[in-house]
This record gives sequence, structure tokens and C-alpha cells, in this order.
Amino acid sequence: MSDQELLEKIAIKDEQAFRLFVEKYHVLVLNVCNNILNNYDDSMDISQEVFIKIYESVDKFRGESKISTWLYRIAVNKSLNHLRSKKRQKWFSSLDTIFGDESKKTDIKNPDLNIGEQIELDENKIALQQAIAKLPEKQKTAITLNSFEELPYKEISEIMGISVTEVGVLINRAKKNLQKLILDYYKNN
Amino acid sequence: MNCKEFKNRIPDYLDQKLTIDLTNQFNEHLKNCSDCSLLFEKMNNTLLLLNKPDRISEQPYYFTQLKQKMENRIHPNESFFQVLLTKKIIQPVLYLGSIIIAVYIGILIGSGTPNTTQYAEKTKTDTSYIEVLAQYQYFNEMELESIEKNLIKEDSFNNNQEK
Repeated sequence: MSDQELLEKIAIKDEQAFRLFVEKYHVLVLNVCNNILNNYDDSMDISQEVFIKIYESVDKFRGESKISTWLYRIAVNKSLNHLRSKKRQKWFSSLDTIFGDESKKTDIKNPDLNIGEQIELDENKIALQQAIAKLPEKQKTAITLNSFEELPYKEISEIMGISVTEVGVLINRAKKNLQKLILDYYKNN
Repeated sequence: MNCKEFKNRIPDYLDQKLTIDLTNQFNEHLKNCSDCSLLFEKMNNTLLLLNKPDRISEQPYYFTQLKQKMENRIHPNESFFQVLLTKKIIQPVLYLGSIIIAVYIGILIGSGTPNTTQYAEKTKTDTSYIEVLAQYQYFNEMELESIEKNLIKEDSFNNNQEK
């Protein structure tokens, strides 16, 4: 069954079609959310919100862009909204921000590494995650979609609703800022 | 090039923006300074992670959880008005009521009940009960202490014999 057929069936609330659609795209949506939110539980929650929104508003999809682009856009917007609402709850999230909420992060261990290498890899991951978290919203989105999702500038521009040139500028700035932030992290630690 | 200069030049070195002379100085320092070399290696390894992200794999119960979430939304356990009624009205009223009752009980205990006050007033004037109680206690004591009674009897028997 093609994506278009799935969407048509989802529009008439066909549960089986929705199940197939979710099974096909949940890894993509989950990873986009996780790359922005950097928290597994929140990513699960927000990615489910993405699918609920799709289920409720599938008829609004005009088919002008790829389904994946549409999914990325909703996932990015939902994740950024979640980050904004989290920032508003500063009293409760200050510890998460300072310590990067280590307990809830996805911890994917590489079995080929020894303990020392794994510790170094973990430290590098923390440095990168903290640096990305400190980036401005647009730079964070652009670098996440480009580096982690390996999307071309054109698709990122469609997802973010900006020009391809702007995407390039954002990614370059993000990379420079990341270098400075990572350097600062290691200088201070 | 000293360590401070080296650290400041790392971003430009990575962007290949240093002049040939500065690049040579940078490489020279990198070879000779172990601390800076370690820092540079860590930075490089961290930046490399940008191209090797951790991926979350397929989640087996994802759709089941999603469906549960959707059902909870369609049939929420408590409606908005129920929550409003219980949490915003009934619960505070119950708390307030229990506090008032507790304070009232406290005041009653502190001031004494009407019955105990009346009894206290009566005992102030009427002391006859003390005599009754004393007699009874003495009598009762004698009844209970049978050994002493026997000794008294024995003593009085001996005394009579001596006489």
C-alpha cells in the first residue's frame, strides 16, 4: 500500500492503515524528536503527539511536499514547542538543564568498546549534547536535521520554511558555535 | 605559540582559516604539548559524533502505547468539570471542615466539658464521700489482709494465756 493510499484510509479513520503508517514512520519521528529533545521519555511522548496530530488532521496534508517532510516539520515544531514549555518551567527543569538530565537519556552502548573507550565516548556525547542544547533554536534544528538526519539543504529549507541559503548560513554558524561550546566544555572540565 | 593561543586558534584551525605560518606553529605546539594534544583529540572526537548519531531502534509496543494514549484522550478518566468540582471545590471544603472540627475539639478539651465542671463544683462543697471512702477502705483492707488478722488473733490469745 502506498503512502498516499494509507493517508486516504487514515482520513476515513481506518485503524489498520494508521497502524501501518505508524509502524513505517515511528522510528524516523522518534529519532528527530530525540535529537532535538535529547530525552527518551519526552521523545516517546512528543512523537506520539505527532502521530495523534496526523490522525486528527490528515486531510490538511495537500501532497505538495513529501510525507517525510511533513512529518519532520510536525516533529520539529512539536519538539521545539515542548522545549519552550520546558524552559518556562525553570524551577523544575533547572537541574535537568544543568546536568543534562542524564538519567533519562538514551544510553546506547557500543559492545565493541572497552570501559575506558566507552567512558570517553560518553563524555564526548555529553559535551556534544550540552553544546547542541545551548545553540539557538534555528541553528539547533538545522544542524540536527543536517548532521543527524542527513537531510539535504533543500529539504531542511522546506521543513523550516526558510531559503536554502539561510539553511547554509544557519548550519555554518551552528558548527562554529559548536566548536566554541565544546572547547569551553573541555576547558572548564 | 603558547597553550592559550593554541586553544583560541582551534576553531580557526578546524575551519582551515589559519595562515601557513600559524598552521605550522599550531602543528608544532600540538606535537610538543601533551595537554593541548589531548584537548584537541577530545574536541575532534566530539565533533566527529555529529556524523555518527545514536539511533533509537524500532519500538515493538509503540502503536499499542499510542492507541492507549488516544483512547485516554477520547474517554478521559475524569472530565474537566469533575476535576474542577473535586479538586477545586470539594477537596478544599473537606480540608477546611476537618480543620474547623479539629480546632473545636481542641477548644472543648482545653475548657472541659459541662459535666466535668458540674462534678467539680459539687465535690468542692460536699466532702462526705471522703469519710465513706475511708471507712470502706479500712474495712476492706482488714478483710483482705487475713494474715494480719490472724496474727492479731494469735497475739490476743497469747496475751490471754500469760494473764
